Amino acid sequence: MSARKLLTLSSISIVAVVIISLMMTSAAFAFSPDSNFTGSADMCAQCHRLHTATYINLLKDASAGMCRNCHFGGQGADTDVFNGVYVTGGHMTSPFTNYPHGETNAVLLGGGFEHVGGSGGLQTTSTHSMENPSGDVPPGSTSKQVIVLSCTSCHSGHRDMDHPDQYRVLRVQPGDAQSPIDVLWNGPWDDQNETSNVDPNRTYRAYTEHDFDPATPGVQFYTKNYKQNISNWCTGCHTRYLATDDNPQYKSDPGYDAGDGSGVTRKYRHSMEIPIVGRFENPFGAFEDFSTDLPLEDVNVTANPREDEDLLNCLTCHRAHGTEKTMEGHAALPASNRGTLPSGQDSTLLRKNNRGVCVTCHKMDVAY
Amino acid sequence: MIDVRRHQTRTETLRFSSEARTVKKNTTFKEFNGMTRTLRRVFCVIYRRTPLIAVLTLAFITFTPTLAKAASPHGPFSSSTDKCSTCHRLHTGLSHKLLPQETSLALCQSCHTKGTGADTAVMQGIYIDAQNPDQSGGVDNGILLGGGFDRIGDASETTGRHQVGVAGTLPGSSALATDNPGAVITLTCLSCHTPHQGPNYRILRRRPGDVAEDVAVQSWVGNYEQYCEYDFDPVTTGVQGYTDNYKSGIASWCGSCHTTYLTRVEDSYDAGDKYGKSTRYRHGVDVDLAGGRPDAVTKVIYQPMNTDLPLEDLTGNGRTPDDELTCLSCHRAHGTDAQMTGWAEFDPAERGILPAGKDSMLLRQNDRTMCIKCHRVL
Repeated sequence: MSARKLLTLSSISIVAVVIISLMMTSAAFAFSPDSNFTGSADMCAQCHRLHTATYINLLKDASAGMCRNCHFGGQGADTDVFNGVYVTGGHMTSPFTNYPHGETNAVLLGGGFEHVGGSGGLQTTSTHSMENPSGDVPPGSTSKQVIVLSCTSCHSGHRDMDHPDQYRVLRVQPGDAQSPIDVLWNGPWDDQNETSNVDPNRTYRAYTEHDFDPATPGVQFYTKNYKQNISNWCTGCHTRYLATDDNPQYKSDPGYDAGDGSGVTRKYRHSMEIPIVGRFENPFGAFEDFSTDLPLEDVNVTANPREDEDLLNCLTCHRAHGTEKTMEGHAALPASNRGTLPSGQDSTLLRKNNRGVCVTCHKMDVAY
Repeated sequence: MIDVRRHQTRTETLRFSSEARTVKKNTTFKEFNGMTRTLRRVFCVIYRRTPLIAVLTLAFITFTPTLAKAASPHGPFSSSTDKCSTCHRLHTGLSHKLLPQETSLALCQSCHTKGTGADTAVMQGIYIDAQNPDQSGGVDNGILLGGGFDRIGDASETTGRHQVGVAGTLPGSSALATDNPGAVITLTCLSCHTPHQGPNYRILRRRPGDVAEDVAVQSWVGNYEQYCEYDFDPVTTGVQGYTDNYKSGIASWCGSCHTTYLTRVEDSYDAGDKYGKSTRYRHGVDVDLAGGRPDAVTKVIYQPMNTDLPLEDLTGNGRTPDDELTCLSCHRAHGTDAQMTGWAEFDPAERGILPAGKDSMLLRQNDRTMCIKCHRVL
């Protein structure tokens, strides 16, 4: 056998070994390729092709398609973000143990892009638009920069080594952000025991929606995951949605054009990153405590599930990916006041039908 | 795949149909009167047609989105209410309270102007029944009981109104500002009405003028009914539509701002006229008509009065002498086109803080016609 043939066979063998290794990797070591890299990282090959890539950044596929390879239909990831469901059957095996971060077949906290609650669930009525060729201007954007959203507009394909604790592998500097925005979370969790490292009796279910109505203690899982700053992060694109008079940057400026026909004017908006504290007087004169069954940020995580110090944030009312909720009647914004917002029936990613998110805190649904 | 929403709707329809049969058997006149106009019409069909047609019609009306869309944004609210977005923008509000208009007045006008949204076109003083077919609070093109701010019946211009958006001295408010004619306030719609339902009729504020205690205004009908003026002269019996609406409390409610107007004799105060601070006497309110007027012959025996002006019906027994005179017996709440001439024009020297001489003081009828409606001194 000539040296050349020997070299060829060796090359083939090496390639075969690599391919087999990759296949084994998929089967045995397929925990999240988005993070947990080690010195002998096997995960690069999940997304990249060094010589045969079909898309920039040496990706096997275009961004959304690339992500879809795993995050759809239980083909790899537990989080089927296209169908808005957590599928334990597809979850990736970790080197630690079998640790689900959500409840099987439960709706993802962020909803889905096509359906919510699985492929047989309801179709979404609004989503963060994905790869719209003409792009979109994020509502509340000061720069009015047209963005063609893709998964990687919000998520990093790799954990940022300078910000290793960035939750949900969110991009550290999204959109128009001028500096890094750290999204804090209440991990790490005790993955070995599948429990919170703060309260061993509490199971960690960060990815899925749960009923954590204060009235039903014991089913209060996901108040623990977000800790702080998610609203700041969202305003990386929706720049105006956190602006307050207290902020010197906005105190003296004339406002902005929201596209709603009112032109460049100062806008008022619901406060974010505020605690759900105190009492309020309902229309019938009764005083009630603020409370909600919507997700909040838990700034100082303790064994207590839901506390007054928990913070309202963007994700309290909105799902990050998409929602199946419906808007009717007055909740379907009139064309005259819609501006740059989507169609009148658009549910603007809200977690509840119509304006159910409002009355969840403000308790207007009192008997009449 | 099961369409969950369709399945739920069908289930609700079936449940509704059984309830409808029960309602048909047990409905009282009061319940019937509490229905919307459209539902009343359908209800009549129920009696005349087969139960199947009736039930299908009711179900159709109940679940038709167009009708749901037309419901009042002021409440009641469900846990999945659509109404918040009528008046609030969570991220792009143009004024405090996250309103989509620069003032609350502009926001109210955006619906309560003829042809914009609400049945009650309070600016034009007219009721447009076709605007919201699921809410029958009056007759189409009828004059609003409270009148209008700009016009009456979308025709004649008003000659007197509660001034909204303009600072002015509040007549009879000495309790709110001692030793002077009264408090200076700038009225808005929200000075009198709460936009978020509440216990009072007409979504009137529980504590007008920021009084310390709630002031209850009760009614015999639903909050969104009986908006129009009717001729309910006792002589023309059978046309007594709105005698049933106000039950009690409206004079006390008005008196929360016009603090001195509820008592016949009050400690002296400055009414803003030429008499300065002195003891004032005034017509009683919240008094029934049973005490009556002197008999035309004997001049001694008092006969029960009667009137075609609106009264409070405390017992719900229709127009009877036990009904009580209220502020709204003589005055319209929003504005009037009544003309003041001759003696009815205030002497400028006596006018004080009151508006111009031609101002009709929100009176329901020309000059002092209201007086003789009860006192019969012609």
